[in-house]
Amino acid sequence: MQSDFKRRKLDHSRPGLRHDALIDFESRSSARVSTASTFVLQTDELLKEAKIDYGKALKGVDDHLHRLKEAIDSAAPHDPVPITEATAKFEKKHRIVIPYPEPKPAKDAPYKLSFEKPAQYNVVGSYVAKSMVKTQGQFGIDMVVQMPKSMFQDKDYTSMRYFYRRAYYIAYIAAHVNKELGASMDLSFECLNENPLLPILVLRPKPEEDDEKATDKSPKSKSSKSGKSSKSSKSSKKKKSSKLPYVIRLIPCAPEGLFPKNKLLPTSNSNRSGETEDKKTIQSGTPFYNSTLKAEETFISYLKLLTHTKTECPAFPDACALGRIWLQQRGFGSSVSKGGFGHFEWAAMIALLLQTGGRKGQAALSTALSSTELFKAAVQFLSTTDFNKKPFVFASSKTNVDSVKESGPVMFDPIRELNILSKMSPWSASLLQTHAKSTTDLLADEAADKFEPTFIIKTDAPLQTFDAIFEIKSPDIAKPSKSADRRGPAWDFSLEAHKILKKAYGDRAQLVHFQQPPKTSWSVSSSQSAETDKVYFSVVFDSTHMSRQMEHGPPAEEQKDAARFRQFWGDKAELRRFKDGSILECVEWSSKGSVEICEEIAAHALKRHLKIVKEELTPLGAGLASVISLTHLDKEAFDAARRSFQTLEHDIRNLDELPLQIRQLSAVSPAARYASIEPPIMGFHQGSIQPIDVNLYFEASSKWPENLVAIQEAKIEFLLDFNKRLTAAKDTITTYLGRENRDIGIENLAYLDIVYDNGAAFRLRIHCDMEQTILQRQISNKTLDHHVRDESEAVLARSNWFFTALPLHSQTIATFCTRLHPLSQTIRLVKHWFNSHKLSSHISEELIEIFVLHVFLQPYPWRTPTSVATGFLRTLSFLSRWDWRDEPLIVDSAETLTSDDRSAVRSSLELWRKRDPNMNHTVMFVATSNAPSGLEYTRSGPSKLAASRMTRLAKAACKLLKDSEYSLDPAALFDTSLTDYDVLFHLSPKALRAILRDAATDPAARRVSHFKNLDDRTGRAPLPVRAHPVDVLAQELQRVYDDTLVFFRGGNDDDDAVIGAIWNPKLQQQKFRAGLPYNFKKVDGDEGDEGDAGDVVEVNRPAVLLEIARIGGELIKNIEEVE
Amino acid sequence: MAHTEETSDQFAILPIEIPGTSSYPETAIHEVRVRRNAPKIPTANDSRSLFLKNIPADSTGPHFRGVFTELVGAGRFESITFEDETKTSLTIDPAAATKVTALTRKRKHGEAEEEERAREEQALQLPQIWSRRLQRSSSTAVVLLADEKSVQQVLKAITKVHKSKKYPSWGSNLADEVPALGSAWIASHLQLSRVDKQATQKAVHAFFNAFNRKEKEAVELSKRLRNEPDDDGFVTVVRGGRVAPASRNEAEEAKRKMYERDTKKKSETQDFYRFQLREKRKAEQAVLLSRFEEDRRKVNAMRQQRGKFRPET
Repeated sequence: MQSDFKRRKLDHSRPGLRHDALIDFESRSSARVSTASTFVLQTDELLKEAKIDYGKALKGVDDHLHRLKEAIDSAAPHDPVPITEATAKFEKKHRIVIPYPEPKPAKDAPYKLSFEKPAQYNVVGSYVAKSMVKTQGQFGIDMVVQMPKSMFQDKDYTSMRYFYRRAYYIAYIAAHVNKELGASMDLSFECLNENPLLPILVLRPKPEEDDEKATDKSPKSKSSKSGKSSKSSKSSKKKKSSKLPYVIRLIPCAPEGLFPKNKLLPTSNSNRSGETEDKKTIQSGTPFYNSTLKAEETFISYLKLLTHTKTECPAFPDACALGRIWLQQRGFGSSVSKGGFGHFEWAAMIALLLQTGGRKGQAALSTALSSTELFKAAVQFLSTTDFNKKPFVFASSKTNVDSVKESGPVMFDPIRELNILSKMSPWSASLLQTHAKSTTDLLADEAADKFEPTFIIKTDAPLQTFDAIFEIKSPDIAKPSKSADRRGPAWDFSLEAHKILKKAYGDRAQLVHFQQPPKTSWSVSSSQSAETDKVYFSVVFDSTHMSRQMEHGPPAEEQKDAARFRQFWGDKAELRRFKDGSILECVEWSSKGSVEICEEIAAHALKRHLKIVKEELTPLGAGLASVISLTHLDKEAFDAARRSFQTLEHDIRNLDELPLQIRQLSAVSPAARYASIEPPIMGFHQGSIQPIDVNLYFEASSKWPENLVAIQEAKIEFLLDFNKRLTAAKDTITTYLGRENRDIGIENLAYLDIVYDNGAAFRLRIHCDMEQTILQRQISNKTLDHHVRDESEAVLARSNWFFTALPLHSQTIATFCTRLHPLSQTIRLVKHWFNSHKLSSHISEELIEIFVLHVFLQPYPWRTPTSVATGFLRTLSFLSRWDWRDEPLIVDSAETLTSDDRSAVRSSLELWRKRDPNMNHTVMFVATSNAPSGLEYTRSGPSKLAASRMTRLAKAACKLLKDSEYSLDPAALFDTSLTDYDVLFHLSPKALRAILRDAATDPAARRVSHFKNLDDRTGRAPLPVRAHPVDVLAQELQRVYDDTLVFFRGGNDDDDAVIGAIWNPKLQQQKFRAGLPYNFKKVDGDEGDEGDAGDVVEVNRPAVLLEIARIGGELIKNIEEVE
Repeated sequence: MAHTEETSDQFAILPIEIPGTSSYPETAIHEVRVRRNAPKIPTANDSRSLFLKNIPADSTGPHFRGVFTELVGAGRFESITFEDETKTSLTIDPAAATKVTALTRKRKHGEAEEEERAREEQALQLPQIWSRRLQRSSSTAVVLLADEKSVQQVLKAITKVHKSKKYPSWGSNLADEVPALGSAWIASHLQLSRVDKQATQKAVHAFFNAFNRKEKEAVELSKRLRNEPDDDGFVTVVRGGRVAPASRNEAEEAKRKMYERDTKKKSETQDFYRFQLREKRKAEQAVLLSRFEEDRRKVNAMRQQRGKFRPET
């Protein structure tokens, strides 16, 4: 009884709290709610920011529209005149070239042209919808004038007759507007959305006269407001003239129901003019022509749809604005050269999804959704629907899918019977889908910052998007095309080339994209400029397949397929027998790298099928692989290094009766994780050997002494023991005991260099887990001296980094390098970039690796880079954008960080910034799965100075990238300016080589030979050295002048023998005290007034430089002070 | 501030002329500050020594011998001790020893014992890896002169130098007294870094001889302390008795285990009563709310920074 009562009470309490339905507390991902809300708040803010003040920005627009209407109304109608006569007369009288679409009407065309007053005026588009945003390039106000039905004949849909009439109509209007308003507006022609069939009139008000004219006319225009334009009139003439330029586009359109729609199905051929007439047998459809014609009468209908949707769904305008920004950042727009998917298509798509598109003809989306939800839904829709593969039809039950099928992408609106994507090409549809997929991935990624990649970052730079870019320049492209579809020759050419390249690349390419040159407007008194003869095409690789050298075709037995294969590849195809016994048709490419193979395939396929010769195809792009000679052999070298490490591990583990059990051996050098700039080279080819650092871990033991110094000594004992055992066990091994650059203390003292006679070299260090415990104990021991505890803390951090974090880091990087193909080479290239800008002394290699890994793991707004070029350029873009002042970098490589961990890193960053607002200590916060505190990677730098220099350099590189659209000189990215430093130390390469030679020989074993070319080094392997001489010098200088100079240097290559330095900016003139940390001298000027403030000192620059000159000796060739 | 002025008054400026080199062919005047040495803990030699600040980075004894010879003639300069040489010696005693010795009164070392210690310390030094060490920029040194009179003479000579403008020069007449810097220095360092195995082995053995001996002494000492009452009749309690002394690690391990057991026990009794569940839910709600607030704060902060909401063009 009682339990019953209790249960009931429990039941009641549930709906009372009601939070179960809203937020699922049980779910591990309840944090998603919070990140989602950040996104919503940010988009709200974005919308607020992006919305334009119509009164301010577009003042006087309505007024102009009214005057325009009056002007057009005043044009005198005239009766039908034969087309040739009308054209000649008109062009002569008005000095306006009628913008007839190609081909121009024949001289003997039988039909007549007339002009009648427009049946209707209407303002359409985003001006009325109020969905313009600040960042769009130009504000266009679309005004449609409907041509009266009486002007047309039934047969006008054929043979371009409608379009000729339309062109004449717009030219006639242009003539009259020019006469009436020519003084206050500039007139030009343009193609609507770059559709060559649809010339429109563009009016640009002249700014000076704008103001007074507007005030003059305002009382008059009030009376003549009509239709939609009055609705949108929010005219305001009081404000100052705007800076935002806007244009009025005058678009003639057809009355509804002018032509029967069943004649204009995509499969029917309505355009029988021109060449097609000769070959009656081939009568392919003209989907583009038909869609264009159909779209002519849908302006008003879509306007109604959008206005209706706006009242139905309050969030619709905002969703449109978000869509507009999203598309704009990805370079999409309504015009053909921008992909043919712009704001209008987006709005229409959402409007239709709000009405139909769901199951059983119901609405796919609810009108109750918010703007962000609508946006997400729309992107999701774009990402999941492949318009190329299968036509998408809203309310599919009513329409037969096959009847609307075209070769291009289709999104069919059954009510207006129109393919909304008619301006899109197959490649732009694929690109759009890729972008949508990337955004969907991003929105689903809990960890990523969603807002910035979605809306802020501009992602249309071709060099960052595509792995290879080519230019085709051929007279074929400009040649008037034979196709009746009137897409224009460049488009026709691209379609053909696209089909061929798509087939040629197969699974090697994710995307083959064509970029057509944009069409510009032209003045009314001239004819349209000639077609360009250039198209660009770009490829996104599939990184695993692009580097494949062999193209496998069908087996020889399948004759049909084999023949087709042969037909496609021509004489390149050959029959081969493979190891498994199969006999296949195949093509072998002679190039090795992915970019080169891509080039070779393109050249071959285009030459075979389109007769594009070598000179007409130019590979563009950045050509980055040549900068540090990345080759396909490098991976083999890295693999060999890893194999040799396994040999070492085997040899060490096989040693008998070691006093302690070995737990683990790990290699921690960049060379052992596919990440060193130069691949490891086996053998003694160079004058020096670069050993790979190896850490050795013993099982925990209580035998270690409980004293840090003693532990270090014991480690030496161990190393000597290893030395004995190894050399005894293997006669191919030579060992050298080496000392770290340290005095006896609590840190590691020595290492053992193990050199195999095949050239593999390792540097063995021992880790003792007791150290950490003792250090920890010292840190927490309050009775100890302050500086002892500080030192212990520093040592603990270093030891944790080297023995705990670094092996895990190496493991991570090596794993990802094998998994993500271009990662290794990208890391190496980025390291080279840091090197050539002399930043590698401040930013550690591991940190750089994490930067690049981040770009690969969170590639938004792109997808994971598929080549070195895109990986590198996107890394630069990330570096330029990363605001390390406020944001930590969180790279969750193992996907183990929870949102709590993330927010812990964030709050610790905030805490540090509060405690140290000048960022004297921790500048960058980099947290990974292995190092979740965010401090491990950046404990030893970079300083604020170096970090901001990095950001500045990356920004400059990105600017260069933006300015150079398709091709980029890679040298410009790697060239560094030496004028930014205060002092330059030019090193002498000769002295450097001499040191290297001396250091790598044993002074005891020196012998003198009779023969000059047989000195003591001949035939001997070089000995391992502790560090590169430049490193030694730089470390010493850094130690001595830590507070005086900041040194900048790159790698240790001989050609980069300049160390740059700047005087520490903190060193101002100051009063003398005994603790000053720099070399100072008394300031001369103060000699006169011997007052209390007399002893003012400053840095003694020449004395410091002379000291350095003495320290460097002959190694420093020249010290140059930069003005 | 007044304090620093006071000290600065005592410093005299000793200008040293630094000759140019081929890579930087300009002469410069290096200013070393000199005063009577007055350390906080006075020593016997204070009266005949000088404190130097802002010495050149490549300073060595012979360098300063040369400078002082130019100032006051030969025979006055005895020795120089640089900043990094006066570092306190390391605590290389075993953990047990440090503990125990802290309990006992400091033993006075006899002369012989002191000597023994020094010899030991010498033996456990690892082979040197630098032919010459650099001083940190603007570091200090203490110069020991022949007698008190020399100190005065030097100070007097410094004031005279200011008038005559004939500054002592740096590094002249050194001959081969100091190892060269530059590439020879780096090359020799790199060669020395590949240390001799035998010598190192010897040093390590010396170290452990001393270490083990100390450890043994400490054990004995603690044993003694356990039994002997001190002057006041108290017996010191030290770890270890009939059984072998527990290692510190084991103790910590045991502590950790106990802590773990406690937390486990605690966690088992969670989510048991209804009030616990309710409180938990409330807490979660509060977290969500605070997170929302945080988001809003973040967005507000972003708004403050201009351009965060403006799409790039």
